Amino acid sequence: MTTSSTSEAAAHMLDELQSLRQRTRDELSGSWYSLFVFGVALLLFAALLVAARGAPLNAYWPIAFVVCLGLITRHYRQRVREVGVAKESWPFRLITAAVIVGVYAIGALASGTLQDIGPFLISAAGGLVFAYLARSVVLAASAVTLAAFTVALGMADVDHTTAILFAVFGAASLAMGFILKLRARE
Amino acid sequence: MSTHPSQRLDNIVHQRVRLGILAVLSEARHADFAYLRDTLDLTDGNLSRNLQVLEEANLVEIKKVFEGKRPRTWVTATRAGRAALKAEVAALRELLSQVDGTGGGQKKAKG
Repeated sequence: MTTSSTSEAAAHMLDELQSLRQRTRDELSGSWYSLFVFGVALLLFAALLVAARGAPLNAYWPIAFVVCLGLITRHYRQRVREVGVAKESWPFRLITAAVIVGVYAIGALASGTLQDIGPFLISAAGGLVFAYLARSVVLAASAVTLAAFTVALGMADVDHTTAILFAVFGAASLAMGFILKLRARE
Repeated sequence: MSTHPSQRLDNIVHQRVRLGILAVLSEARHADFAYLRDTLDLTDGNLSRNLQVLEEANLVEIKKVFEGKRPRTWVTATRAGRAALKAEVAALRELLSQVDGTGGGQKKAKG
Protein backbone atom coordinates (compact mmCIF):
# COMPACT_ATOMS: atom_id res chain seq x y z
CA MET A 1 0.00 0.00 0.00
CA THR A 2 1.37 3.45 -0.91
CA THR A 3 1.72 6.25 1.65
CA SER A 4 -1.05 8.14 -0.13
CA SER A 5 -3.52 5.27 -0.05
CA THR A 6 -2.67 4.53 3.62
CA SER A 7 -3.41 8.15 4.41
CA GLU A 8 -6.68 8.05 2.48
CA ALA A 9 -7.75 4.80 4.15
CA ALA A 10 -7.01 6.22 7.60
CA ALA A 11 -8.88 9.45 6.84
CA HIS A 12 -11.83 7.50 5.46
CA MET A 13 -11.90 5.25 8.54
CA LEU A 14 -11.84 8.25 10.90
CA ASP A 15 -14.65 9.93 8.95
CA GLU A 16 -16.73 6.78 9.09
CA LEU A 17 -16.21 6.40 12.84
CA GLN A 18 -17.10 10.04 13.44
CA SER A 19 -20.29 9.71 11.44
CA LEU A 20 -21.29 6.51 13.31
CA ARG A 21 -20.72 8.19 16.66
CA GLN A 22 -22.71 11.24 15.57
CA ARG A 23 -25.56 9.07 14.32
CA THR A 24 -25.73 7.21 17.65
CA ARG A 25 -25.57 10.50 19.56
CA ASP A 26 -28.46 11.85 17.46
CA GLU A 27 -30.44 8.68 18.06
CA LEU A 28 -29.88 9.06 21.80
CA SER A 29 -30.69 12.72 21.97
CA GLY A 30 -33.99 12.91 23.79
CA SER A 31 -33.42 16.20 25.61
CA TRP A 32 -36.44 17.68 23.84
CA TYR A 33 -38.86 15.68 25.99
CA SER A 34 -37.27 16.78 29.30
CA LEU A 35 -37.33 20.39 28.10
CA PHE A 36 -40.99 20.10 27.12
CA VAL A 37 -42.02 18.60 30.47
CA PHE A 38 -40.08 21.09 32.59
CA GLY A 39 -41.19 23.95 30.32
CA VAL A 40 -44.84 23.14 31.00
CA ALA A 41 -44.18 22.85 34.77
CA LEU A 42 -42.37 26.22 34.81
CA LEU A 43 -45.10 28.02 32.83
CA LEU A 44 -47.80 26.51 35.03
CA PHE A 45 -45.98 27.72 38.13
CA ALA A 46 -45.61 31.23 36.68
CA ALA A 47 -49.37 31.32 36.05
CA LEU A 48 -50.07 30.01 39.57
CA LEU A 49 -47.75 32.64 41.10
CA VAL A 50 -49.76 35.40 39.44
CA ALA A 51 -53.12 33.81 40.30
CA ALA A 52 -52.20 32.99 43.92
CA ARG A 53 -51.33 36.66 44.73
CA GLY A 54 -48.88 35.80 47.48
CA ALA A 55 -50.58 32.64 48.78
CA PRO A 56 -47.99 29.90 49.54
CA LEU A 57 -47.27 27.37 46.81
CA ASN A 58 -44.76 25.30 48.80
CA ALA A 59 -46.12 21.94 47.70
CA TYR A 60 -45.89 22.70 43.97
CA TRP A 61 -42.24 21.92 43.21
CA PRO A 62 -41.83 18.73 45.28
CA ILE A 63 -44.90 17.33 43.48
CA ALA A 64 -43.90 18.77 40.09
CA PHE A 65 -40.37 17.30 40.32
CA VAL A 66 -41.70 13.83 41.09
CA VAL A 67 -44.25 14.01 38.25
CA CYS A 68 -41.70 15.44 35.75
CA LEU A 69 -38.99 12.92 36.61
CA GLY A 70 -41.52 10.07 36.48
CA LEU A 71 -42.71 11.14 33.02
CA ILE A 72 -39.15 11.57 31.73
CA THR A 73 -38.00 8.19 33.08
CA ARG A 74 -41.01 6.44 31.52
CA HIS A 75 -40.37 8.17 28.18
CA TYR A 76 -36.68 7.13 28.09
CA ARG A 77 -37.40 3.52 29.08
CA GLN A 78 -39.98 3.26 26.33
CA ARG A 79 -37.57 4.81 23.83
CA VAL A 80 -34.77 2.41 24.77
CA ARG A 81 -37.14 -0.52 24.16
CA GLU A 82 -38.19 0.88 20.78
CA VAL A 83 -34.85 2.09 19.42
CA GLY A 84 -32.56 -0.52 20.98
CA VAL A 85 -29.87 1.78 22.28
CA ALA A 86 -29.49 3.40 25.68
CA LYS A 87 -27.25 6.14 26.91
CA GLU A 88 -25.46 6.38 30.23
CA SER A 89 -28.01 8.15 32.42
CA TRP A 90 -26.09 8.70 35.67
CA PRO A 91 -24.48 12.03 34.58
CA PHE A 92 -27.95 13.44 33.83
CA ARG A 93 -29.35 12.18 37.16
CA LEU A 94 -26.37 13.63 39.02
CA ILE A 95 -26.76 17.07 37.42
CA THR A 96 -30.52 17.08 38.04
CA ALA A 97 -29.96 16.22 41.73
CA ALA A 98 -27.23 18.90 42.01
CA VAL A 99 -29.52 21.54 40.46
CA ILE A 100 -32.41 20.63 42.81
CA VAL A 101 -30.15 20.78 45.90
CA GLY A 102 -28.50 24.00 44.66
CA VAL A 103 -31.84 25.71 43.95
CA TYR A 104 -33.22 24.89 47.41
CA ALA A 105 -29.94 25.76 49.16
CA ILE A 106 -29.58 29.18 47.55
CA GLY A 107 -33.27 29.88 48.12
CA ALA A 108 -32.83 29.13 51.82
CA LEU A 109 -29.41 30.69 52.43
CA ALA A 110 -29.30 33.80 50.21
CA SER A 111 -31.13 37.05 50.72
CA GLY A 112 -32.31 40.02 48.64
CA THR A 113 -31.88 39.91 44.87
CA LEU A 114 -29.68 36.82 45.02
CA GLN A 115 -32.51 34.92 46.70
CA ASP A 116 -34.75 35.82 43.74
CA ILE A 117 -32.34 35.18 40.88
CA GLY A 118 -29.95 32.60 42.45
CA PRO A 119 -32.13 29.55 41.75
CA PHE A 120 -32.49 30.62 38.11
CA LEU A 121 -28.74 31.10 37.73
CA ILE A 122 -28.18 27.61 39.13
CA SER A 123 -30.77 26.21 36.70
CA ALA A 124 -29.02 28.00 33.81
CA ALA A 125 -25.67 26.56 34.95
CA GLY A 126 -27.28 23.10 35.05
CA GLY A 127 -28.56 23.73 31.52
CA LEU A 128 -25.02 24.51 30.41
CA VAL A 129 -23.74 21.21 31.80
CA PHE A 130 -26.63 19.37 30.08
CA ALA A 131 -25.68 21.14 26.85
CA TYR A 132 -22.12 19.89 27.20
CA LEU A 133 -23.27 16.32 27.89
CA ALA A 134 -25.64 16.42 24.91
CA ARG A 135 -22.98 18.24 22.80
CA SER A 136 -25.69 20.78 21.90
CA VAL A 137 -24.64 24.28 20.88
CA VAL A 138 -28.30 25.40 20.77
CA LEU A 139 -28.83 24.36 24.40
CA ALA A 140 -25.57 26.02 25.51
CA ALA A 141 -26.47 29.30 23.80
CA SER A 142 -29.92 29.20 25.36
CA ALA A 143 -28.50 28.58 28.88
CA VAL A 144 -26.03 31.50 28.56
CA THR A 145 -28.75 33.82 27.23
CA LEU A 146 -31.08 32.88 30.09
CA ALA A 147 -28.32 33.48 32.66
CA ALA A 148 -27.57 36.92 31.16
CA PHE A 149 -31.28 37.78 31.11
CA THR A 150 -31.60 36.70 34.77
CA VAL A 151 -28.71 38.92 35.87
CA ALA A 152 -30.06 41.88 33.84
CA LEU A 153 -33.53 41.48 35.35
CA GLY A 154 -32.06 41.19 38.85
CA MET A 155 -30.09 44.41 38.36
CA ALA A 156 -33.08 46.23 36.88
CA ASP A 157 -35.01 45.53 40.11
CA VAL A 158 -38.45 45.26 38.48
CA ASP A 159 -41.66 44.01 40.12
CA HIS A 160 -42.64 40.35 39.84
CA THR A 161 -39.06 39.29 38.99
CA THR A 162 -39.72 35.69 40.07
CA ALA A 163 -42.92 35.28 38.03
CA ILE A 164 -41.25 36.82 34.96
CA LEU A 165 -38.24 34.50 35.29
CA PHE A 166 -40.43 31.41 35.68
CA ALA A 167 -42.38 32.43 32.58
CA VAL A 168 -39.25 33.19 30.53
CA PHE A 169 -37.47 29.98 31.59
CA GLY A 170 -40.65 28.00 30.87
CA ALA A 171 -41.13 29.56 27.43
CA ALA A 172 -37.43 29.12 26.57
CA SER A 173 -37.53 25.51 27.70
CA LEU A 174 -40.59 24.78 25.54
CA ALA A 175 -39.05 26.58 22.56
CA MET A 176 -35.77 24.65 22.91
CA GLY A 177 -37.66 21.38 23.23
CA PHE A 178 -39.59 22.22 20.06
CA ILE A 179 -36.40 23.13 18.13
CA LEU A 180 -34.58 19.96 19.26
CA LYS A 181 -37.59 17.81 18.38
CA LEU A 182 -37.72 19.33 14.90
CA ARG A 183 -33.98 18.79 14.43
CA ALA A 184 -34.27 15.19 15.62
CA ARG A 185 -36.88 14.51 12.91
CA GLU A 186 -34.69 15.92 10.10
CA MET B 1 13.15 5.24 19.00
CA SER B 2 9.34 5.49 18.96
CA THR B 3 7.33 2.95 16.99
CA HIS B 4 5.55 3.90 13.80
CA PRO B 5 1.82 4.51 14.52
CA SER B 6 0.86 1.70 12.13
CA GLN B 7 2.62 -0.71 14.54
CA ARG B 8 0.18 0.35 17.25
CA LEU B 9 -2.92 -0.56 15.24
CA ASP B 10 -4.52 -3.51 17.02
CA ASN B 11 -5.28 -6.47 14.73
CA ILE B 12 -8.53 -7.29 16.53
CA VAL B 13 -9.83 -3.73 16.66
CA HIS B 14 -8.46 -2.53 13.31
CA GLN B 15 -11.21 -3.97 11.18
CA ARG B 16 -14.02 -1.87 9.73
CA VAL B 17 -16.95 -3.71 11.31
CA ARG B 18 -15.36 -4.18 14.72
CA LEU B 19 -14.27 -0.54 14.84
CA GLY B 20 -17.82 0.44 13.87
CA ILE B 21 -19.29 -1.68 16.70
CA LEU B 22 -16.96 -0.08 19.25
CA ALA B 23 -17.66 3.41 17.86
CA VAL B 24 -21.42 2.96 18.31
CA LEU B 25 -21.01 1.43 21.78
CA SER B 26 -18.62 4.18 22.88
CA GLU B 27 -21.54 6.64 22.69
CA ALA B 28 -24.02 4.42 24.51
CA ARG B 29 -24.46 2.48 27.73
CA HIS B 30 -25.54 -0.47 25.61
CA ALA B 31 -27.09 -1.25 22.25
CA ASP B 32 -29.08 -4.24 21.11
CA PHE B 33 -28.16 -6.66 18.36
CA ALA B 34 -30.78 -5.35 15.92
CA TYR B 35 -29.67 -1.74 16.39
CA LEU B 36 -26.03 -2.63 15.68
CA ARG B 37 -27.00 -4.78 12.69
CA ASP B 38 -29.14 -2.03 11.13
CA THR B 39 -26.80 0.86 11.92
CA LEU B 40 -23.78 -0.94 10.52
CA ASP B 41 -25.75 -2.48 7.65
CA LEU B 42 -24.67 -6.06 8.38
CA THR B 43 -26.18 -9.50 8.21
CA ASP B 44 -26.94 -11.37 11.45
CA GLY B 45 -24.13 -13.84 10.78
CA ASN B 46 -21.53 -11.20 10.05
CA LEU B 47 -22.39 -9.22 13.18
CA SER B 48 -22.40 -12.39 15.31
CA ARG B 49 -18.94 -13.40 14.14
CA ASN B 50 -17.46 -9.97 14.82
CA LEU B 51 -19.15 -9.70 18.22
CA GLN B 52 -17.73 -13.09 19.13
CA VAL B 53 -14.20 -11.89 18.29
CA LEU B 54 -14.68 -8.76 20.39
CA GLU B 55 -16.18 -10.74 23.27
CA GLU B 56 -13.30 -13.23 23.27
CA ALA B 57 -10.89 -10.29 23.47
CA ASN B 58 -12.91 -8.88 26.42
CA LEU B 59 -13.71 -5.73 24.48
CA VAL B 60 -17.50 -6.15 24.69
CA GLU B 61 -19.94 -7.90 27.00
CA ILE B 62 -22.98 -9.65 25.60
CA LYS B 63 -26.12 -10.24 27.65
CA LYS B 64 -29.09 -12.24 26.41
CA VAL B 65 -32.31 -11.39 28.20
CA PHE B 66 -36.05 -11.81 27.81
CA GLU B 67 -38.16 -8.65 27.74
CA GLY B 68 -41.65 -10.00 28.16
CA LYS B 69 -41.66 -12.93 25.75
CA ARG B 70 -39.19 -11.32 23.40
CA PRO B 71 -35.52 -12.37 23.49
CA ARG B 72 -33.07 -9.51 23.27
CA THR B 73 -29.28 -9.34 23.04
CA TRP B 74 -27.66 -6.30 24.64
CA VAL B 75 -24.06 -5.44 23.87
CA THR B 76 -21.89 -3.20 26.06
CA ALA B 77 -18.35 -1.96 25.45
CA THR B 78 -16.06 -2.89 28.34
CA ARG B 79 -13.56 -0.44 29.76
CA ALA B 80 -10.89 -2.23 27.70
CA GLY B 81 -13.08 -1.87 24.60
CA ARG B 82 -13.46 1.87 25.07
CA ALA B 83 -9.70 2.22 25.68
CA ALA B 84 -8.93 0.12 22.59
CA LEU B 85 -11.11 2.36 20.41
CA LYS B 86 -9.46 5.47 21.83
CA ALA B 87 -5.99 4.04 21.16
CA GLU B 88 -6.95 3.02 17.63
CA VAL B 89 -8.33 6.47 16.79
CA ALA B 90 -5.21 8.11 18.24
CA ALA B 91 -2.98 5.82 16.16
CA LEU B 92 -4.97 6.59 12.99
CA ARG B 93 -4.76 10.33 13.65
CA GLU B 94 -1.02 10.10 14.26
CA LEU B 95 -0.59 8.09 11.11
CA LEU B 96 -2.43 10.76 9.17
CA SER B 97 -0.46 13.61 10.66
CA GLN B 98 2.84 11.82 9.94
CA VAL B 99 1.86 11.20 6.34
CA ASP B 100 0.71 14.79 5.96
CA GLY B 101 3.92 16.07 7.53
CA THR B 102 6.28 14.06 5.31
CA GLY B 103 4.52 13.25 2.06
CA GLY B 104 4.71 15.88 -0.63
CA GLY B 105 1.42 16.42 -2.43
CA GLN B 106 -0.49 14.24 0.02
CA LYS B 107 -4.18 14.67 0.57
CA LYS B 108 -4.98 16.83 3.60
CA ALA B 109 -6.35 14.92 6.59
CA LYS B 110 -9.99 15.39 7.39
CA GLY B 111 -11.36 15.74 10.96
